[in-house]
Amino acid sequence: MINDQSKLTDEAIENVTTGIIKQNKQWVCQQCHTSRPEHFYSYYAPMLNKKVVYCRNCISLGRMDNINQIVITKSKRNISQGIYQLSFQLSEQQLFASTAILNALKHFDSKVLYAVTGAGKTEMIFEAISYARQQGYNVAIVSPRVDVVIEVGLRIQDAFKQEQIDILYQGQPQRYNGHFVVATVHQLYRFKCHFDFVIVDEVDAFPLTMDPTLMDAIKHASKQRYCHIFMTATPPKALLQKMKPEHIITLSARFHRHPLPVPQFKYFKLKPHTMQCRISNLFKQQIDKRRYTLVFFDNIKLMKSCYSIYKTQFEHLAYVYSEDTLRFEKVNDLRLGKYQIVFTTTILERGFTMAHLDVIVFRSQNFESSALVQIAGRVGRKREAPNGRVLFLHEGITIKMLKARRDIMHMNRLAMEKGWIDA
Amino acid sequence: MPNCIQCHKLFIDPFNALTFYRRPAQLCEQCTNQWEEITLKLTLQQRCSKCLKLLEKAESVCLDCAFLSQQYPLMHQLYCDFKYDGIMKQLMHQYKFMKDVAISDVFATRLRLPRGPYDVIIPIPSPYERDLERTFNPVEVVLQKMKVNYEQLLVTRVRPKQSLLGKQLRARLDNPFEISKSADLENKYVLLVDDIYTTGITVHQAIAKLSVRKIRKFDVFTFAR
Repeated sequence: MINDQSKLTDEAIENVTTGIIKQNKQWVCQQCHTSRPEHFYSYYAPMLNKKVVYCRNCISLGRMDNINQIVITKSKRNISQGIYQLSFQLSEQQLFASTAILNALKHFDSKVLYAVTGAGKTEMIFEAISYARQQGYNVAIVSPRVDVVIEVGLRIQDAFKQEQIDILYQGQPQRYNGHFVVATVHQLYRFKCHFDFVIVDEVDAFPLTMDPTLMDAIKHASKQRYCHIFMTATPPKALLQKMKPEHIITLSARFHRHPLPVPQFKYFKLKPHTMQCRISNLFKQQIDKRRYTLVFFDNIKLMKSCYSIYKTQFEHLAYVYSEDTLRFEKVNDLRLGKYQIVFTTTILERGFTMAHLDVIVFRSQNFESSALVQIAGRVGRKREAPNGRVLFLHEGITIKMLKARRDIMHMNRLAMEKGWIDA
Repeated sequence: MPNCIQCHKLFIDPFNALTFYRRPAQLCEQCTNQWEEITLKLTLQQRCSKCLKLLEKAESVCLDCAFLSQQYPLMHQLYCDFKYDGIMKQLMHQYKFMKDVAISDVFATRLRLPRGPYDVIIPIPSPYERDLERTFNPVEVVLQKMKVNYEQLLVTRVRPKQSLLGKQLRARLDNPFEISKSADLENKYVLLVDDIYTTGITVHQAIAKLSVRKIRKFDVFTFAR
């Protein structure tokens, strides 16, 4: 763990260095391990009469520079009971996956869990986490998405009531000793050789796929012997090719034994500056049926201009996007059912669960197939409301849309063959 | 295609007859919009002509300026282009507290000093201890990046963080500024530069010390208010 000198108490010290060091004529950051010159910034400090160099890649976690010392403390283990409560029984499929993960952990194997949206991935890892905590292994559940971290964090805290769980994202402070952590991937930069068991939720989400240093962060945070579980509903090709087929666990059914909703395609040209009655009628129908509707846009500007048109007619309308200052409050209000129709970008494509939800995608020709699968996966996730509508409004069907629909139908067929869904 | 100096994304800066004589853009469209959002629009709102404070409906004379003029010689004019909000707040935090010196480049391209024929430009100092801990002085670094000739004539001692104190408390504390160099300031036109203007007490304490030297006129420039 990387620590500030002033905050140390009785921890054993592994290493003391400056935040960045020079190796082979290149600066290397000790926190995020980057050596790309564009990540470093240098300036002259007159009060020290020195050139100061620091890393900008991980500055949000504290500045690493060539003058201040950092202390890397030794990783410790701590045994706890790992008791959890679950209010329901795992499905046949979940049990199968849960056992597979537990075995992987016992042998320190790494696995990809290719599970459809709403398969109940979070519950499948409980048994393995419990075992890990009883052995004293350090556990991290990470995701590139803040929203996913918050949602998963709530569910884990709810199940493991007696454990000391650190939930780390953006400015959240660490309260415990980091033996059981739910965090964004960025936060792993602070841990070095610490975790035995790392679960990565939504591996294919931005920015993890775009930023190779984040993948390295997972590796640097893990001990020499580790178990990594990568979970996603839309694994990228590269990940599937990297892993051996026996290391991929495919789960094709949802926990409530209903098939995935299959998207409908409809031609529709969205005009951002006029009210279109097909849309307003559609919204009216949704409100009459008492269904919540998520409307996905590919573009924030377009979303805002549509919002300004339709908000005059619909009272319970809101929009939310990544740079929205009220983002977390709005998502929370949405969960509480304050809005009936919400305009959003791809930030709500993952990790959002709500009953009685339908989705509409505008200009679906501009979306990636993984995004479309995830969006369709928002619907019918609760046992009490397992069905719903997925509508792709397009200006021309694309291969990505077809692939998304084909993937969903393929998973449904697979589940049917295994007898994991009742149709 | 250049990289935006604020978000580092590539953006397209069109090159045509209209942009031929313009300096190349440094910020992408999105970041420019973020700055646009926090730009003070002086003509649209009723603000104090001196300190640019947003006036209440019933407020015909700015109470802040009236309060300050009881204790200190009042500045002639505050120049400030941005609200301390949104992107400014975010960047200021990253710059001063996370010590991300690279942000000074962004400030330097966005800020414009008032033109007036100033004889001396004086930045408001930070305590030496704080500069040492930070390894840079936030105001001076930006001025250096803007290639401004300034003179550091003041020093200050460590005092409680202003942002933690209320207005009454700030006013009651005694003046922490001292003049460090002997310079002839008689009948000069001075511009004081600081990062954030909130109550104006900091700047006016500096003015109080400097006005002993018979300065003709004080203007103040801050990054945000």
